[in-house]
Amino acid sequence: MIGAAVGVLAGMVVPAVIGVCLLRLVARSEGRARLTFELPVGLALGLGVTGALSFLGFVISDRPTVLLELGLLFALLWARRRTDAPALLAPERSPGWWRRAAGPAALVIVGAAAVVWASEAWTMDHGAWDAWDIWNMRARFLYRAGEGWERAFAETLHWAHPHYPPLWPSAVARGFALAGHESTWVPRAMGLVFTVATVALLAATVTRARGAAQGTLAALTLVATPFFVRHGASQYADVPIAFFFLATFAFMAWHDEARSGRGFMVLAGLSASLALLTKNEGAIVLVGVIASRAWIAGRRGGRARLWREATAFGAGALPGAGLWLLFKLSYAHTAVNYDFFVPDPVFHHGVGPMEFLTTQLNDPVRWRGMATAWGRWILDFDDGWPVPLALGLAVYAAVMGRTARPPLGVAGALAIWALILSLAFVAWSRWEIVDHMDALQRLIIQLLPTALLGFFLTVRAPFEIPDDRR
Amino acid sequence: MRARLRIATAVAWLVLASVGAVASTFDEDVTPLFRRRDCAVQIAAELEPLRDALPPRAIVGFMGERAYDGCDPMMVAQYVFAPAWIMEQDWDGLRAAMRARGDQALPRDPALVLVWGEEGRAWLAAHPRYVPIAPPTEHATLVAREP
Repeated sequence: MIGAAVGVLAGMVVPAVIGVCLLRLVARSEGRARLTFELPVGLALGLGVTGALSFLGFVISDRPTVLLELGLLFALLWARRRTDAPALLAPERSPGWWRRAAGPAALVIVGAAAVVWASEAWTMDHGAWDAWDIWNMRARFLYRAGEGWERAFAETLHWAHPHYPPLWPSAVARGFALAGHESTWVPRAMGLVFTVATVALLAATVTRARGAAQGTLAALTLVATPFFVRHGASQYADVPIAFFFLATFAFMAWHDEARSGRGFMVLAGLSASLALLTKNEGAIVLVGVIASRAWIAGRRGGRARLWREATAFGAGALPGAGLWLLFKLSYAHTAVNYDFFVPDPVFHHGVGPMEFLTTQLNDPVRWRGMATAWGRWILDFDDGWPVPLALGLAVYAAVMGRTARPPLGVAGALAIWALILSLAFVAWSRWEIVDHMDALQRLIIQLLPTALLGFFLTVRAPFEIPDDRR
Repeated sequence: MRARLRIATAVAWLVLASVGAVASTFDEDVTPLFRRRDCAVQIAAELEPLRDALPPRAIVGFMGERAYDGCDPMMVAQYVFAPAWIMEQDWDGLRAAMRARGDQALPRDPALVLVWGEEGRAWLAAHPRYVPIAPPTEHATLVAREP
């Protein structure tokens, strides 16, 4: 047990330093924020970067290698010494009585979440179904197969989606290699890191923009969502991608607050590309992010601002996007029987792809099924809030009112994501649509932290003075 | 008045979140802390000893029930036996599609087969050319075709 813990922790040192260095290139944290923000967020960011580098290592040398990440580490340490990043301002403090009330509430909620996480993690040594069937299985291929690592993405494993991007299994395989054996604690610990980091990033971003009380409310809303915490223990890639989605928008929010420099936009681009390398949903959200943000940047600052933000975002996203393209073109396979994007007429009930799509789009049953699935999961995705979370948030927003803060682009990106996703289910899925759209619960959880960021940045904070009385 | 309502709403939200978080623990079974194990853990533990008998790049057919205690034994076998490939013995669709594209041909009768459960045992009885190459476990037997 102690040996396993040491091995797992050893695999997290370099990612932590890489991630913290990346953050400190842009801004310095001070005091308690180093522990509550910089360390978890930097570690998660670093695990994403080293996971991507591990995949590149397999491409270059057919085995796990730390040379690439050590090269990046030294480059970042060198760059850090030449950078004088501004310090992040300490957030405004909330009233004493609120802190005395919120503290015990936070203890209760975090304690309950810890019980839920531990119970799930201990039951499922190898993770939930998709963990052992897809992610950890592929990590074992990468760790065990040597020169044959590409077999992990072979069409023979058609049920395990051989076109799913490689970041998460590469990161787990890297952890196995550094621990020296296939410790089930590697993916479990990584899941915990991403769960904690997501909460920390949400809390820090909302706190910085809207004060400590609002940040506490945002973070505790997420921690009190059982489906999010359970997935933190499932060893799936859904919580990591949720972190990368959140990081994309959080760094954009920090960029808006900073009003100078473009470092946060580079980090936003990097986070978006890591989402792309984690799951296919990353591509859908990336389309939403680019469209929504381009529209906002263009409206606020014209072409000059759009160009400034787009080039910084692109610079951050380019390496990861290039690696994603390499994977998709050279290693990924779309299985003949795959439920989406079916290329073989045999699996289209004997008709060609275009006729199949047209038939599906003209079928009112599929549209009704899509609406039914949204109606169900938008009210049920949280899996255990005393009232449906979406409904509760709507009532909360109606009472609190909204601020005049300029939009971040979350709502637009979510709308584009929902539209593309719904069309994909209606047009491409070969399954009965309501059954297939049970996947919505997990898809919504991937975007819940981002949605909460947009929500708590927009609604009025409890101790905020209304704009008309300032 | 409105300001007080907002503060009261925020407090109510905290209370609601706390109640929900505590209630969610009631759905959890805490016996895993005393080593309750899910189906994947059980099947993986049963199959692990068979892995030593496999060459790393083997292609292993699977014959048997595809459901056991909430898991698919074939998929757990793939997890345990990686980087060997496990393939459905009786799925011709994939085999035909890969052959048509000129990809690696998957054998119709693999040299190695993992048989699982009653269905697997019945298949083995009907195929006497396959013999065990490792000590059978409670549900699984790894067999090889005689040359």
